[in-house]
Amino acid sequence: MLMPKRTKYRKQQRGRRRGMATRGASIEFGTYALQTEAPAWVTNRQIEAARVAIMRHIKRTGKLWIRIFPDKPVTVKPAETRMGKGKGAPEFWVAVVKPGRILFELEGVDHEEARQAMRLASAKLPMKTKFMRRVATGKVTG
Amino acid sequence: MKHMNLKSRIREADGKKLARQLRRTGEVPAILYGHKREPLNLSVGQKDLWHILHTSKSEHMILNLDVEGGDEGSILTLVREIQHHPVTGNVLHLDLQRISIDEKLHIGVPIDLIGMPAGVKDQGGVLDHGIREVTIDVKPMEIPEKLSIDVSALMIGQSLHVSDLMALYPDLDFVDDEHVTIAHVSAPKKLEALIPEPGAAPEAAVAPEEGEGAEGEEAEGGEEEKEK
Repeated sequence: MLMPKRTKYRKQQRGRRRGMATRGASIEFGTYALQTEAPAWVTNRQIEAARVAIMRHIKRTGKLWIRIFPDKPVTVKPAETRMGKGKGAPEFWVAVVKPGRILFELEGVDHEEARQAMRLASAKLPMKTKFMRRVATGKVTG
Repeated sequence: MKHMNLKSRIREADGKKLARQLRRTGEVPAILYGHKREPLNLSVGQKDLWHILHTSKSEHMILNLDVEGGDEGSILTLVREIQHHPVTGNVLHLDLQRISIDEKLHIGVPIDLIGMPAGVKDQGGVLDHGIREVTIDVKPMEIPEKLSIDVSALMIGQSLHVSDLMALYPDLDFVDDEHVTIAHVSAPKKLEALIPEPGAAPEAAVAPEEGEGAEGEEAEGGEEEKEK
């Protein structure tokens, strides 16, 4: 499962999830993508479940990119514990996503297959998502 | 490349609040600059822009801009940047640059891959895109809509590079390096490696404390003690 190899600090504060995604909000690698429409914490288990669902559906055809990484540790206090006595132990990792963020990208499969794979992946995720496809390209330099 | 016409009006007001008001009335704020002239704040119709964007292959196109109330007539412009809303995809702002017919531009032109590679059809490989557009140095009237290249002969492990495109279009002046990959057919990965077996034990949820991580923790604790 996805998690950082090493971290500077073991525990983090929760933070807030205001606003929209300013980075990672456009399709960069594949032709099809799954985009989030709501802010959420996506756990490493959910990312793995979605990845497996996509890979099972597309079999060996196609290529998948995971555009999020769970780099935030979440702590949980043990059950039936009185408040206080410090913060709980790190239990799992989450990726903080804001509306507009691209979660997965797919390449090398047809439109219907990509849509179905993303629908299956979406069922494993904790927020509303949208299926997208690349429409136009173009850049100007110099 | 086909040049489209776009009508615009001079925008007196600027700023975040007024730009939002403008968007609510079905207009998109835009700016026109270039050729060492004073930048011009403009607004264009959302519907006109939507129509242009949905009929064009690339977002970077040449437009004949008519400015209502302006004294320049039709201005030849290049769409330099389009800002989209991250969720809805609506156009938020448009950057237009003045260009002249004789002046060469560096412009990205989409690459169109034709056919199904033999490595995908017969050997079960996966077609990977390298770059999806190539930068060329060209006059505005000579910009091609797209550059097509046939990939049907590609087998697993074979690639197409910008040099192949250069051979196909010898008249064009390419800016990109000739070794850059356009398309590559890679071998499929084994399914067992991609999907874990149902009975396999899950990995530990929390990263083990490593040397450097533990040091960081100690350092943090040390600071806290000092504060006390």
